Amino acid sequence: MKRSIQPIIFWCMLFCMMSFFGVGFALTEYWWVDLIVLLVVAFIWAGNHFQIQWLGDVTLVCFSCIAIAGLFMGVRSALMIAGAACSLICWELNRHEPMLHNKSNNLATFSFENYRIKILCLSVGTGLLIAEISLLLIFKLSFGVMFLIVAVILYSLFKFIQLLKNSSD
Amino acid sequence: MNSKLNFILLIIFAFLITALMSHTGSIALLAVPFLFYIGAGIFLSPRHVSLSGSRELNSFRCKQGEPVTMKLAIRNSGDAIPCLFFSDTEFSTQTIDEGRTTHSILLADNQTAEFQYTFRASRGRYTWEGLKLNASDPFGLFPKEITLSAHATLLVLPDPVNIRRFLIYPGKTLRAPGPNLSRLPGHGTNFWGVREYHQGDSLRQINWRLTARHPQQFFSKEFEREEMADIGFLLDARAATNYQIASESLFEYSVSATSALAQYLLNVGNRVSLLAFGDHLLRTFPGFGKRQLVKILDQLAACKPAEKDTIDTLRHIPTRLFPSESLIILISPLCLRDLDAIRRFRAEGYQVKVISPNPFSMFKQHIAKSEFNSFAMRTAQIERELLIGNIRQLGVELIDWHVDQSLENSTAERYRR
Repeated sequence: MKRSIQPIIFWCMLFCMMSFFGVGFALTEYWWVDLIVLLVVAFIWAGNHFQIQWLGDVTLVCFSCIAIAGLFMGVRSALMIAGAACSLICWELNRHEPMLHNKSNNLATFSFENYRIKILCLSVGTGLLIAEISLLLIFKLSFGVMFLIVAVILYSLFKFIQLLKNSSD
Repeated sequence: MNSKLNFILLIIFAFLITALMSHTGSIALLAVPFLFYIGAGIFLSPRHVSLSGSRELNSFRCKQGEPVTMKLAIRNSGDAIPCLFFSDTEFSTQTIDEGRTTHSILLADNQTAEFQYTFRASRGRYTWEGLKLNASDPFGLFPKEITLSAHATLLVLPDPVNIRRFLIYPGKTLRAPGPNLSRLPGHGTNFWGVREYHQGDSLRQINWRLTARHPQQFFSKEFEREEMADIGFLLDARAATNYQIASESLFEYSVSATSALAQYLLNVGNRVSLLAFGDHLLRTFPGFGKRQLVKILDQLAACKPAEKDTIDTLRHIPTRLFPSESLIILISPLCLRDLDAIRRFRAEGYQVKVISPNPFSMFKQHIAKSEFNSFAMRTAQIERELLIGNIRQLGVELIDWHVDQSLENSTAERYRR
């Protein structure tokens, strides 16, 4: 019988996330933040074990906050971005776990699962790569220009989703 | 937009706002993997969804507890669907033996996905109206709900109970051969009497002993004619009288008794009809043979105790459904109000036989032993005994069926008395 690779990917990503955050905070000697990271990881386990979906959402918010806090505390940006990206992958895999508990062991489900994991890793990985490369680019922008760029990105995103929704209706 | 997408957008928004407020570009970069995640969802979500579905049951009618296989097929004639999630309707009285009712699959264009699961179900009529699907991108960010028409109906017949003997003495019989003694001379096996020989009588019918005693005269033997009887079942489907404790329901006993008796009486060659009354009337007009049995069992499979008391007494039963002077077999746990109706049946010339599942035989297994409970049970039992006595005084044969025993034992006990 074929075995799912989802748990392997999930645990790998969890380990990577812990390592990125752990090493990042350890290098700046904020050891106590590592304890918080471990506590949030315990939340992931609890959410997974007791099938509490909102606990998974809370952990993603926590890791995002930890990443932001780390950047404010002067931890290496590359590690924090990588940690946040890994937490997104963990959250996504964890969220689909209840659905996969009810699956049948047929080939169609396996191919769906592998495809999803592949797309998830590819998209988040590409995003991570671009973000890491962007760290190397140093350019100064005024607040107004930055605000304008962010507003344009958010508006385009909103319009695009709206367009997609209308076309599907 | 679903909650998952909203949640991700909220996080992206929070990253960007924090980056703006703090003038820290690296915080904005935290949002990049999240944006790519949504981008992949947008890019891969199916634009044109064209699905068709079908379902097939291996049988339309089955016995209670018999495994049934449901086959589902979904055909995609539109764009490839990265995530197709569907969950088939699962009834509370259904137990899945093999397979699953929930699937998440990747369905390519012009591909057909087939699934099957095996289940067992309790008595009832099960109807699957459609197939609810959810087509989305691989992450479920942009879902599209689709309902495909895939209709199927399954009738789960009541528990088969075998009855080897059930005595009835119908007052009126039909002029057609059957199993019941008609109190008229004719063809049969039971000796009826002797009469003078008539031209055309068979030699086998001649009573040679009597003929020997009376020379110059011939005598013929007569037998009791065996004829078909009209029997109507009246099934009480009122929730008020059919008590339910835990998973055990008195109504299920009534239904299994009706099915067993209908099967027996039709097999021996009677004409049988059925009327179940609750919030509405379920009826099967008089008929005989295997086809009639199937009709009755189908009605019994779909019969449910009525929550609403629209027809709360037997008084409202249209007695015209039953041929005059026929035998009515009432299967009911009975309540005080039913006495008047039974009296009316008798007054209209019907022969009535009551099979009453005894609720106390079911209660005693479930009700905790306490002084209050035993007092209440005794009071209710006395009330029931009085009602039974009153019904018997009307010339109605009543079988007080203790449901912890088989119906056959209860009827045999009644005849022994």
